[in-house]
Amino acid sequence: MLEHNKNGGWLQHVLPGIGWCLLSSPASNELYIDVQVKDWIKTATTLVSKAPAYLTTMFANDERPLTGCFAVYAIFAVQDRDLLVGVRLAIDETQAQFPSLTPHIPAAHWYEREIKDMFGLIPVGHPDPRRLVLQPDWPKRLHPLRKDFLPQTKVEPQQGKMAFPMVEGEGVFEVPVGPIHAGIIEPGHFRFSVVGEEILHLEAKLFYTHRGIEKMCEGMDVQGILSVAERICGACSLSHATAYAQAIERISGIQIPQRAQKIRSIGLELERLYNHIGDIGNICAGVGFAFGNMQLSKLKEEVMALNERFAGNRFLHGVIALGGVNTDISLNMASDIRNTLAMIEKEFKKVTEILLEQTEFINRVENTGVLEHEIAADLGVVGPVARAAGLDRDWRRDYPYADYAGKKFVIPVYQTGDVFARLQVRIDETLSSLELISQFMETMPTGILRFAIGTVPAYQYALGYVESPRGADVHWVMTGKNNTVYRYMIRSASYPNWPSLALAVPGNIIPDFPLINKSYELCYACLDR
Amino acid sequence: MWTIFRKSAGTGIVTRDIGQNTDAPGFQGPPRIEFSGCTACGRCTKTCPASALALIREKEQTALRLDIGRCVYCGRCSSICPERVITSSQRFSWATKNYQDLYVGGRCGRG
Repeated sequence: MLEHNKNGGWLQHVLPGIGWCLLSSPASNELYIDVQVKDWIKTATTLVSKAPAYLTTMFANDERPLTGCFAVYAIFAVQDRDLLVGVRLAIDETQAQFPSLTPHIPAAHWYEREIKDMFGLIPVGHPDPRRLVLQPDWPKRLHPLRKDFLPQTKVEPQQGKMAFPMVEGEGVFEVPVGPIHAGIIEPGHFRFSVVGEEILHLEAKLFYTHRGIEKMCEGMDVQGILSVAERICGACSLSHATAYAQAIERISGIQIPQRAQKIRSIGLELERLYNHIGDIGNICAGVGFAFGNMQLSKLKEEVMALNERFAGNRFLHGVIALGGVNTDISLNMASDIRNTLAMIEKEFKKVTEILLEQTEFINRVENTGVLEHEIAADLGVVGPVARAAGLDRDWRRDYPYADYAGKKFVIPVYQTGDVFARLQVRIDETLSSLELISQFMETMPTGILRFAIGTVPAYQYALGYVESPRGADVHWVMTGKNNTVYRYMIRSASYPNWPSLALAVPGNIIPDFPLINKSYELCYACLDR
Repeated sequence: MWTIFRKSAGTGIVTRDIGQNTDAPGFQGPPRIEFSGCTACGRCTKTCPASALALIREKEQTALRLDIGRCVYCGRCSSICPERVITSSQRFSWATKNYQDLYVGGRCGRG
């Protein structure tokens, strides 16, 4: 209670003179305030400049069955303080609009476009109100996340084409790439405007793998959604499952057993390991350096085989239970983990040492695909992409969860923002993860693996978040009656990073695009949901 | 250049030969059901997120049927079975030419 008062008092100090009222505080580091439309932009910009804080996600909720109106929530992550502040704005159905934050906080851009597509609430003053999520052939004025749009509704496709900005001039060509790509990767369309080989402009059309996961989960049983959360994405499966479970546990007000926290943390670092090792290999593939790609693919395979022995599944499905974990670590498994990771660390160091000695390779990755620090901060990028552009942010340290509180580990930050920096961040983080796993395994508390969570209270809400290999995954859950979920918002790490990719590409040549793309290694499925 | 060549040559062949093995150590595959102990309570059919389990009632007998093609290997059925007749198999190899081969069923011995 003292914590809540402390944060409430601090907020009074940061936002004086604004008529906000405290809505709820689901946990000591999470609170929500409600504001009037006249104070909406001022509250947001004041939080950003004075707290200081950055916008981490923004979404809408059709609360008409509950309160008679829609609501838009903007969640701010306070810097230098373990606190997440949600600002809620109620929106009348007949108005169906709200003042756009984007001209003041560029990071809001895609969130507001998605709110417009899915809820039909217009962000007034948004500089780019084109469709984002819905494909061009989706009918106008049909908004899927409104409660009156029933799931399974048959929708007739309409005529429609995406508007790509035209770059005009002598010798300017348009090069379309995808959605079907040369490699076996996810679908996404990229429209390049080029002169010769040099890229002038890139526009991406994404959301091909939009499955309507958020809509599908509405009304679903709380337990069943865990299986869905695991499958939002293959490579961040454990991160998403943990984030969802944490949201539900926060709403239920339970602390999971210590042993379960450790096991979750070990699993999350194993996930980071196989992702980073594979991603470094993929950066090599981006320049056709087969040696790096193959050696690191072999190491990635070793980690995935370890995952299978540890969790029964290469992608760590089935580890998380609501209230704890399903998987235990026996003494034999602990030895297996230690021995396997010792071998991996030795091999990884050897391979990356050879990699960094290759001048032709360094030549390709240095100064390629530079994401400037200011753009990175303005767009609120996350993860290795952020840390490679000088943003010292890592949610394991900044808003600790699972067993991360109090742990000392290396968080690499580089300033150059190029492919080389993103590569180095991943190399450093791999070694840091290996060290963290040793720390976690040093003291394994005994005890049970899970607490029963019982029936979740209805119409309560909370955040669940995890620093996945790509950055912070932020989930927001509002429960419904009878142990179901009313609204499930998933903001994966890839979401804020995708728009920044288009800004890191101009000035580079087309053959560098696969390399830049691979240095980001963003997940299309995580973005699209 | 030489370091690359030396490391590659030293790596050798990494493919593991598993012979005719269809099990993987630690792998959590589809469930194995001891039908004789099943009471047809239906808990597993309700908890399955993939609708892979079904109770089929014919005349006086009830049978439990598993569709391995739908199974996502989540293990919920084995956790929830009050009679503990469901365990996880470690078999990963299920490819077959006939979908019928993926149906595994049996009469519920105590149902």
